Amino acid sequence: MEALNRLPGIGPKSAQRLTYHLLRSADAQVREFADALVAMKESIVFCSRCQNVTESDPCAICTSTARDRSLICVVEQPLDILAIERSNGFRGLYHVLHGAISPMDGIGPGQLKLDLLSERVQGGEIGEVIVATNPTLEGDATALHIGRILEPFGVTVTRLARGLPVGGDLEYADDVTLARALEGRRRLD
Amino acid sequence: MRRDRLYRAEGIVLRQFRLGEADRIITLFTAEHGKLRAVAKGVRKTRSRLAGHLEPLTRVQVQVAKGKSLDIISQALTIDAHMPLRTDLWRMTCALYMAELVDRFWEESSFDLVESHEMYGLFASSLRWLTMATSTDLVLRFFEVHLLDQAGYRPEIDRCIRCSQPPVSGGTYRFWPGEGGIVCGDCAEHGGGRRLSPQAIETIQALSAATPLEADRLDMPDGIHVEIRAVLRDYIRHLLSRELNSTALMEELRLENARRNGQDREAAPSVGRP
Repeated sequence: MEALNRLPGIGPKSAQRLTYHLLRSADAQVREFADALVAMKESIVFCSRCQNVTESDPCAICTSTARDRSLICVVEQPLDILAIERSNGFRGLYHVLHGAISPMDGIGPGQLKLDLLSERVQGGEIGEVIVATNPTLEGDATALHIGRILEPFGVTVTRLARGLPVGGDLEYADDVTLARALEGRRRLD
Repeated sequence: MRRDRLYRAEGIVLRQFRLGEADRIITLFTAEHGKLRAVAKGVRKTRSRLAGHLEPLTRVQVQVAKGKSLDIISQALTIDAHMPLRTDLWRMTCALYMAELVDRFWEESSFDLVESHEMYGLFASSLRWLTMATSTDLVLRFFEVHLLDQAGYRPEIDRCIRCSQPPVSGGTYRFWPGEGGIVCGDCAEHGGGRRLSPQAIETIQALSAATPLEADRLDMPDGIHVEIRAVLRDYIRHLLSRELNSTALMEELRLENARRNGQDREAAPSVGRP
């Protein structure tokens, strides 16, 4: 129970419930669960190219020949890759920062290993870097910094469009979102 | 200050922390309630109405409901998003540095109303000034000097802390962080602290007496600025018993800017008119 309690989002009641469930389950099932946990820790590594979590290094995305190798999409966390892949709108490669620049929390460019990104871009294969960090202050700070460090390499650096969420209400939109949505307006064709 | 079940507050968002799956804890510095922490539920979802209004550095009007442990933000409306701070990395870092100073010097729920109002006024006007200032260094030093005053740690620079003689031009002085003031050449037996020139002392006095509008017109040559920045940094580090987290990024940006432009490494990254 104590071990489960330590997991994020699992409070004492959930930990209790889960423990009793495991106690009542078949031995084989529980052993399978335990083995899976161990296997995960042992076999999951960070892809040496894009820093995504993967079982094989380099990861499936980095080695795939079906992907557009001139495009890199920079994200904050591995879960962001899952989200973008679900949208089926992107066929390029990724780069995971495992965080965003947050001066107050002491997270600077050094902690995000941005050198690795620069190295990838220096290779010459990359035509565009799409910065898909979160639309937060930290995400913006990270985007600005990436723009600066990649400038010398002449690669195109773009930022995901910002705008009104589908199903949202204009009345409740905040100033920054509205301003950016206006800036990024497109012709109706 | 009696807190009703539902209350309003005007404040500037200092920082956010993730909570659970979709919530955030927002820390604001407010006019009426000093430092305020409250939960913003569901703000990490894309459709959240509150999210955009509660980003750090936003000046916002909130409606808050008292909760069992933490209060809950039920409504929020931006008063000033300080846009120029979001598109310029250097200005943003300066603003976050100022926010971190407020965060560290002010404990929660400091209910001294007068103190809260004045500090909030200082913070709000300094942030606004930062969005359009040509010299970000002036804003930072101005803010540090006035914040120290508000926090009760006004540095003693009007007279030597030992012999009480006022500083004279041509004299030598050292600033002792441990004692929070200057010591003249005669009284500084063992050196210590940092040298502070009479011109730098005069500049700090001018900053201290100025409004943002007046301070914006002050002349602060690079050499003087370097002295003042170093002394205030030592003093703040001494008072907080630690270095601020954002100083590291500020230094990195300054150095990077110097390398890139071959500029004087002490200059702030050049900021054009936003």
